[in-house]
This record gives sequence, structure tokens and C-alpha cells, in this order.
Amino acid sequence: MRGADHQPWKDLYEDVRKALGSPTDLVLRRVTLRGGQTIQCFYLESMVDKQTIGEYVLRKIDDEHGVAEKDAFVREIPFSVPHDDMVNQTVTAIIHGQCVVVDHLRERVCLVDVFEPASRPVEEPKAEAIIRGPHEGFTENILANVGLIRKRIRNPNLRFEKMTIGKQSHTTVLLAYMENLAPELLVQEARRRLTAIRTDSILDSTYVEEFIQDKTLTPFPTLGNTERPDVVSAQLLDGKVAILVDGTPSALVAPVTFFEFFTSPEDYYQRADIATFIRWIRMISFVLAVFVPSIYVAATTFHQELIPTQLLISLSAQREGVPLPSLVEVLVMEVLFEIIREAGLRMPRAVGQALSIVGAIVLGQAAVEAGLTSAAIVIVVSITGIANFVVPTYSFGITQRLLRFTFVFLAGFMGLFGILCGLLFMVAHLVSLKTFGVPYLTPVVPLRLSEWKDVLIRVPRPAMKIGRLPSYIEYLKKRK
Amino acid sequence: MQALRKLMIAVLPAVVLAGCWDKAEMNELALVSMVGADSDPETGRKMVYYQMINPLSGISVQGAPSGDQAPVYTYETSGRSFGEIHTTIYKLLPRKLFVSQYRALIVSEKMAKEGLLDLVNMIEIQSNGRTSVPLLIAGSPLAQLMKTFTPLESVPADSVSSRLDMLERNSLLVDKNIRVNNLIERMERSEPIVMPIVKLISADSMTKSSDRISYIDANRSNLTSDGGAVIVNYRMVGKLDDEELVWYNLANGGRGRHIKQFQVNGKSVTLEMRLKRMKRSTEWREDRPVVTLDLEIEFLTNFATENMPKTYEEMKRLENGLAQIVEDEITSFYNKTKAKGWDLLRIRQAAEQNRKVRRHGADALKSAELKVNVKSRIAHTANLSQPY
Repeated sequence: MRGADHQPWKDLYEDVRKALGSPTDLVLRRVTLRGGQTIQCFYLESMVDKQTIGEYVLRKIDDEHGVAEKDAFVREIPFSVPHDDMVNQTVTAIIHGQCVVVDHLRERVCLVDVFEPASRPVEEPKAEAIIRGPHEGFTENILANVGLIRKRIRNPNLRFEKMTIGKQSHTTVLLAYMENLAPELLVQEARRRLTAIRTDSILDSTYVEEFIQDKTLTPFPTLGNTERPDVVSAQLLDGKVAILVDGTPSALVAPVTFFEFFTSPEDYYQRADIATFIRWIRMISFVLAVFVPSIYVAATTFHQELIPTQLLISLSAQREGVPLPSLVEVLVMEVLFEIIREAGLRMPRAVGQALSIVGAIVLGQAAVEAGLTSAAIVIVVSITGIANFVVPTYSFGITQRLLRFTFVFLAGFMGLFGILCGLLFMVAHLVSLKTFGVPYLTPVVPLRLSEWKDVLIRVPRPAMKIGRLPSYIEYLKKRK
Repeated sequence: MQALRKLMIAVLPAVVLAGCWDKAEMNELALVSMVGADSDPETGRKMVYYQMINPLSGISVQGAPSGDQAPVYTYETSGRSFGEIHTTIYKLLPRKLFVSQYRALIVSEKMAKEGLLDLVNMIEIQSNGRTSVPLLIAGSPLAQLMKTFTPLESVPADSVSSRLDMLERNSLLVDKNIRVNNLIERMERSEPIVMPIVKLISADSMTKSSDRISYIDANRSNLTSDGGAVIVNYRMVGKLDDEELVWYNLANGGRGRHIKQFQVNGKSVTLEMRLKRMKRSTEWREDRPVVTLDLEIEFLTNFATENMPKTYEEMKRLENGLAQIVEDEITSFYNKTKAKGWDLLRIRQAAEQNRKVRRHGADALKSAELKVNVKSRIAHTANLSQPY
């Protein structure tokens, strides 16, 4: 940028420094040329690849004005030039990890992209570990994540639409989909919801999830989230959309139906028979995790006639001398379990394990021996706690925990009648839910029997039809 | 917010539902395992014995009962009616009476002869009443019977009900229709029913459970089943001995495997008898109904140590002999009971199936005749041709 009377590039460094509030990581490097002129190079040390700056930018400048041929720097390194509002543009560039070169000799300002944020290497996601199949997980670097997806889908139809969300954080959000597979309606809807977000900052995909989910007041997640690039790739190939957020390893997937929470990527990396069996185990675990404590409370305080005689005697013997009512007993133990679990998460790993052993076994055993709770309660809480971890998606596990407490209360006040009432409300609520316009209980409501085989069993690969997408995706594709 | 309000409106009325009030913790319940009912014909007072399970005896937690704790406690209470007992029991009982899980109901012979209608109505009228429990008639004083410990199965009700199951499967001494609801059904159809009689083996009952579990002689002071009580119109009218019970149950389609020694053609042979098929048909012949009972019985030689048929002819002779014995026994049982006015083989019900019989009215039923046809078959002959 040149100007005869006003030359903003001359004091650019000072202006930028002032605008950023003299940050400690702002580095200025000067090269003095033979003619006495200087070239300034400044950048935010924390965001750039210093090796690139040293080896390419500075050396080229030096060469150019020393012995090397003229303008080699201009030819070899891509750069952009700010126009108009030079100071503001330069500030924006510098916080996006660009390096500013102020060339006093030729009276110009160049912005060179040398962005390299600190990030960890690709690791296996801890919450979604599997035995067989790829062990790669997303990282906090969005470009690396894009690469992980592209590595799996080498198809020109794969699209990543970039958006910047967050008035303060200016976070990059990518909407990914397969142009030939994803219904236009779905992509439009996702785009509309993303662009409608008005917020200060996006630090994790949960921020986005809360803005774009269909219903806020529900314990059920209506968007899937995963740290696994293979899951995202599989979902994209099913015609769904994925949302990647810069700075977080968890991607969002939409739409996702209730029964899809019982499937896991691992189902497709194992033989069909065992995958089907495990899918059933997951569904049983869901029922156990949600209903075992409430059914225990209902049966032991209201419907003792339902319990087989021998079991009743045994339970009755265990309850002799226990001071608390069953409802309180279950609640205390459940809350205690939640506390142990939460503490275990926060503790350093080595201590965490010891804590959970002390909490679960020692405390439980001691409570039973001291006559504070009955042994059956410890079994109930343990079964529930273990069953809760079977579900592959963490957010769905949280749903189970919330539902469990609701049902325990209902059972404590109204017995099986209360559980039934709660169940009816839950079903009514589930039926009313939608995920990006798709009924949440698909394929049970609306009934699509042909798709049940994907819910109840994992069909062997050769029996799957090539190019077949989930029915709701096909339906959305047909609707224009 | 609107949805939340709707939810509140829907949930709040539920709070006034009975739920919270009828809840009872398990350690507030007195678990009844067996009920005994008696009445005094002179004063009309009803006596009820409740046998409560003592959960602390460790009967299910550790397996064997600990010697110093009785597995059950028997509470005895009385009132002018069975209803009153639900109040008077609390003079003794510190916990809520929980009758939903009792396994057996024993009625004294005195009361059974007086009439069971009152008791049956009392059970039926209760919202938590159970009519699917076996009804037994006490062949010994009820008070003693209710205060007897049983070996092996320490809760007497369990001991009694598992023995009834065993007998039903492994003998023809107990029918499967011995529950209170079977009694009601038969009585409402004006048919008789036979209920098992339980009695004490010896009178010196052991009142300490530690005595019972430390004593080797299981026969001493134990309960046993002995014959059956014939009940007509809710009243006990007579008894059947074990021999008669076999033919009663066989002719009524009992499927238990019964092992019995027969005298066929002058020789003894022990055979396992099992009913394979049974058919009852009615014809109108010579101005009266003739009910034909077709029985197909299999005889197994598993226990035939005395002798074994060696040739085909011998086997046929044995089969025919057995068929004849069964036919004769059932016919004689029928005639004996008919003379007492008990329609134990339910001939009337079978005859009524026939349209002609129905047309001739109730008088025709009285002249009904029974014809028994038995087809016998010997099985498992190849195990030992000649006993040692």
C-alpha cells in the first residue's frame, strides 16, 4: 500500500501492538538491508510455525536483498495484501496466525499464512474406545479432523462449508455432507440453523448443539456426537450432515434417531451374529439402567405379592433393622454412586481407580454390614451403574441417569402405577420429538417394518443393499 | 413453558392417588406362609392359625435355619367371624398381616364337616385373597398340626406344598385339582371333590426347631398325607383311603406315574402305571344313558423284579389281566361311591353332554350306567428278561 502523504505501513507495528494491547507473544523481527532500509516481520509467537518464518520468509527476504535475484520472496511465498482499513485487517490477520511483513524497501505490507496452533497428535478417543476397527480419534485441530474424514471418503462430492460463529471467539465451524447423498432439505436446514446462531463464543460442539437441537427441554439427545472420524464418515455416507467445530474433538451428527443410540461403530467391525447379540444386550441394558431401581422400589414397597416367596423372604431378611425406607435407601445409594463417579472423573487417573474401588466395594460392603442399607440395594445400584456404561454414546448415558431418578421418585410415590404413568409420558414425549424434522422414534413410529431389521439385528454385509440409505433420508431426498 | 404447565396439570392430580398411603416396607410385613382354620360348633367361634415366616431365621439367606431361631411362628387368634380375626390378630401381631403369599390352607375336619362356605366366601371377598392355594383337611388336631416343624424344608407350608407337587407327579394319590378355586368350581357345578388329608405321624410334637433339626428320625413328629376328604356342597361327607384315591384319580384323568404291585393270573408283579389317553362318551341305550370311560394305560416294567413276561403270549396275557383288574377296580369304586350318593367320577357331567340325555331330564341321569374299557400296553420290556 503506498501513499505519498500518508504511509500507514510505516507505523503499522506500533498500531497493531496498541490494538492488541501489547501482548507478550507478539514478536517483531527486523532485517536491515544494505541500503539501510529495514524489513519488519511480526507475528503472534503462540500461533505460528516459527520454522517456516525462519526458513522461508526471513531467508528469502535476506536473499532477495542480498545476493539472490530480485523478488524471489514475492514469487516463492504466497501472501496477501491488506487494503483499505490496513490496521484492522492486519490485526485480524495476526490473530488468525498470519505473519506480517512490512517491506520498507518496496513500500508494501504482506500477510503470510504461517498458522500452526498447538495441538495434540491423533489419539484413540477415550470415551469411545473399541476393540476392533480404527483407533483414530479427532483432535482439537479442525483441519486435521477434515483430513481424517477425507482420508476415509476420497470422493469429490464431500463438501465442507465454512462458517465463522461467535462474536468474540470467531470460531470456525464446518458443515460437512456428501453432496450426492445428503438431502438438499437437510443441508439447507442445517445451514439455516447454523447461520442463525447468535452467540459470543463457541468453545465446544455442545455450544452449537444447544443452539441447533430441535427441542431444548428434553433429556434425550437429538444430535449425535462422536470423536471418531470413522463414525462421522459412515454417517456422512448415510446421507447425514456432520458439524465440526474448531478447537474440539467432538463432531455433531444429524439427524439421529432413538434406536441409533443402540448401535455402535463396532457393530460393523464385528461379525453380524455377535454384533446383533450385543445390540440386544445394549437394549436390555438400557431397560436395566432406567428401570431396575424403580421396579425394586415399587415391588418392595407396594407390590410384595409380585415377588416370588423365597425372594421375598430373602429381601425381607435383608431389610430387618435397616432404618431407611426403600425409596430413601435407593436414592441415597444412587446419589452416592453418582458422587463417586463424578469424583472418579475429576481425580487423577491412578487415584480415580482406587477411589472407585473404595467407593463401590468398601463403602457398599461396609454400609451393608453396618445395617444402613440392604445388600439388595447395593446389587441394584451396581447393576444400574454398570448397565449405564453399556450404551455407546455418552450423552445417551446421561439421559438414562436422569430418567432413572425420575422413575425412582414415581415408583416411590405410586408404585408400578407411577412407573406406568412415567412410561406413558416418556413414550408420548419420545413420539413428539424430532431430529432435524425426522421423527425421533423412526422406524417404530412411523412404522417402517422393513427397517426394523437394522434396529433389532445387524444384517450381514452381503445382505445389505448397495446404495441404500435410511428411509428417512430417502424421504427427505424426495421432498423438495 | 406451556408444555411444562400441561405436564404439571397432568401430574399433580396423581399425587392424591392412593399410592403413598398403602405403601409398606418389607420389614413391616408379617409374611404368612400357612393358614389354619377351625371353628367351634357349639359357640360358633372361629379360630385361625397363622404361620408367619421369621425372616431372621436365615432360611433363605444362609440355607439351613440357625438352630436358635424358629423358621416360622404360629399365631392363634379367634373371633366370632373370620372378619373379626383381622382385628383381633393385632393383639398379638406387631406387623402388618400379609396373606398374599401363603402356600397352604388347612381346615380342621370338624369345620370341614360343618361347612366351608363361610371360609371360601371370606377368601374370595378379600382384594388380596388367593384361591390358588391347596386346601387341605386336617386329620389330626389342627392346633398341633400348625405347631409342627418339618425336616429338610423348614417352612412347613413349603414342605407341604412341595410334597403335594411330588405326589401329584409321582403317584395317583393327589389330584392336581386341590386348590380352593377348584373346590369353588366343582361346588358351583354341584360336583363332589376330593381334598387331601394331612395328619401328624406321632402326637409328641417337637416345639423347638432346634429339636427338630437335630433329631435324625424324620418320621417322628412330621406331617404326612393320608387319604382324601370327599366334599359335597361345601361339606365334608366322607373319606377315601389311599387305594380308593388311586382309582379315583386314574378315572379322573390323573397323569401321575403310580407304582403298584398287581396280582395278575396268580403272580405278583410291580408295575409303573401311567395314563396315556382318556375319553368319556355318552350314549342313550335301552332307555338310559350309558357313559363309557375309555382308558389307555401304559404299564412300565422298570420295577418288575418279581417276574417278567418272556414271550409275546405271556405279555398279552399280562396286558389283558391288567386291563381287567383296572376295569374291575374302577367299576367297583364307582359302585361303592354311587351307593353313598357321591358322583366322584362325574358321570352326571359326562351324561349331560348328550342331547338325548338332556331331553329326558334329571331323572334319566339317576339311572346312568358306567362302562369302563381299558386298553393296556406294556412298555420297557427289554431291560431285563430274567431277574437274577
